[in-house]
Amino acid sequence: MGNFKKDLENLRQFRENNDRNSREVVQIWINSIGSNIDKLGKEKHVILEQVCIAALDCFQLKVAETCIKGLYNEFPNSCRVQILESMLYEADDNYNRALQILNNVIKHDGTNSSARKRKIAMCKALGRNTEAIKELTEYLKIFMADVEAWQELSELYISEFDYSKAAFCVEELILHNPHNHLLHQRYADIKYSQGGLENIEVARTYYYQSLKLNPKNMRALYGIYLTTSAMLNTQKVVTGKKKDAAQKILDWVLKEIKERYSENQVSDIEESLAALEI
Amino acid sequence: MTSIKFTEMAYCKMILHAAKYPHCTVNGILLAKTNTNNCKEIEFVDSIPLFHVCINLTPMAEISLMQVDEYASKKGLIIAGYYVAPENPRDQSFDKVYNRVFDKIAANNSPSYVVIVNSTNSTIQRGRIALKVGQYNDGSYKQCEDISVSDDSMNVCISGINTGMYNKLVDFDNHLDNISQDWTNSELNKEIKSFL
Amino acid sequence: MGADLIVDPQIRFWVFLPIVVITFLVGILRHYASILLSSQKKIEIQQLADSQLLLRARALRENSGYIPKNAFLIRKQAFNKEDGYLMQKRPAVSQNMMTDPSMMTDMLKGNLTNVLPMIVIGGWINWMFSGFITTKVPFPLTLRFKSMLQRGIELSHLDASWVSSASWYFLNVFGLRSIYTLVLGENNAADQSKQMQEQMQMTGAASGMPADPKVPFKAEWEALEITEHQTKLADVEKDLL
Repeated sequence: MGNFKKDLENLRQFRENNDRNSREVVQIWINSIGSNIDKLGKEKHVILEQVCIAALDCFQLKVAETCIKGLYNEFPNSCRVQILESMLYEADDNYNRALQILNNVIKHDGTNSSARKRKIAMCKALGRNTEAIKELTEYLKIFMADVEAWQELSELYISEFDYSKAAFCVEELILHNPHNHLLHQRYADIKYSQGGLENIEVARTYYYQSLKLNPKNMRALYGIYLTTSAMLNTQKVVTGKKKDAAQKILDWVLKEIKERYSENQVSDIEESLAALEI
Repeated sequence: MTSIKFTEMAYCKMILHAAKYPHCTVNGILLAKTNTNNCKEIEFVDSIPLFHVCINLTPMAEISLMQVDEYASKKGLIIAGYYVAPENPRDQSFDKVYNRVFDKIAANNSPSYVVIVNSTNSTIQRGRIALKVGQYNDGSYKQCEDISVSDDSMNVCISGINTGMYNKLVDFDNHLDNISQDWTNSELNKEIKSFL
Repeated sequence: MGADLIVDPQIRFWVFLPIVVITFLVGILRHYASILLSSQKKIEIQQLADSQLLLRARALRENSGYIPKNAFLIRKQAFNKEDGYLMQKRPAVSQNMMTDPSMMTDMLKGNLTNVLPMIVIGGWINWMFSGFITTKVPFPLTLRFKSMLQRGIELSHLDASWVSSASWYFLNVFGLRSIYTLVLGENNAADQSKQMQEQMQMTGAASGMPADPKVPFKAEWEALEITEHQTKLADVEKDLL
């Protein structure tokens, strides 16, 4: 029984940290919790949902089905369970049936955002990225402050190489969460990918900001290095003072990078830095 | 037609990389020996797993290419190919995997190869080759049929996936998150060799 | 003075404890009754979109310094231009407030679980247990507390620290909150005092009904109109080097 408690604790931790860890979750279900599910009190339904999603990830449709049945027994009319059921059909490649369920849920409750999101995810699963983008922009016209959706849209645009639109989405994310260094870094990454001197300058500012928010962000350090050397290489900037300033920044960044590596005592410092100084 | 060979190290790391991040598109670089760069036969001796977070952004890719290039030239290898394991196993066309990383590789190396990893669990468990290889020449792809992977690599992959060996794989994204992690995977390489 | 006053032990068993038990049980009953009667409030999709729009506009206004100037101006334009997001016309909600039957039933149910038991039980206790002295607070109090602690007993010479039955009931109503959280968990409906507070606020804010979106839209529009873009990233390079 000690094991059982530990497993429950593990599952709880995964839920709290938003860790997907699907393989582990399914393993825990098979090993201990699956046969004891009725012994759990209030936690039972949360765990059923968690295991169900994990099982779908691992293509363990039987497990997912048992979970859904258990949930239906308790909540026969719940939208949330219906969405899980649609995901089961989706995993089984029965997209029409899944779509039917989702449409039903939306008809029943127009404000159900997760059903709408599943529909968009389904477009993506079928490889119709442009359609997914269209649906997602429609979705965002209603749920304008849905940060998750903006994030997804930016990633879709990146996969279509539409960097300027992706940048717009990340700007939206920054507005909602201005102190997240990862967002600033992502914005800089996009701006750099977009190319052009002006964008590279913007990218550098955001790499700075990212580094300021989190001094451990290696990507930001490398980003500053890249943007500065790119600016040195463009003809326009290379004039007296500015060149010196840029060179100074380069030296500083390389020093910082070296420091980071020596703090961590990595054996291949020389190797990777040799590459940078070319 | 060129015949293409993958060593155990190259093949397993590709598959394990895909297995570590089944919900992401992952990519990486294939290294080949310098002197075998004739058109009849190419052997990929090692693979470097690169990214899983967002593979279509260029800055970190440029950094990684610089570092991998340095590493490869030290070992007497060259960057000869690029692999992708798409998030969506339905995406199997060569056009979709095109991005600037491959562009750079292709610019430095001709012919260069692009590999699509189709790592569904069932293909691997049945011991089939989970790859599709294309030769890239001046903007067009030619699919290569003559691919050989040793049986040992298949077995290592199967046991690697079943025992969770993929958790030990480090890609360049992991390295950037925590620079004490080694993207050359020297530990994992040893482990793969010890299986043989 | 007060020391020679001895309360009959029968009062403890027939007044003091019954009041505690009754108030407690009524609270529990109210909790379950309100669960039975409560109806899931349906949110209209338009309402949801409006609130999200306001949220986004506020985020833009507050954190505009973190995005480039162009990006800010594009957004400001989209929100504030002639037919921008914040200038959209909405049908006035306030008119159908009274005609909407679901609103009325909601109000009725609220009254049913809140006000009615309060009056009925309070009245009953007042009638049933009126005139008893139930307990004494263990510290001296000034005369002003008499009206609070000795409701229903009009004895001018009684020490102020004695508590009458009616006041004891009210003390219980407000004091049992933490016991309810212990028994029923957080966010229970048993606590009257909390609900009374809520009601007070609600009457202030149009009884929790959706306010006309025009008003917050107008306010947000004005606030955004006077927001100037001031980048917060200008000195970041200097800060680091």
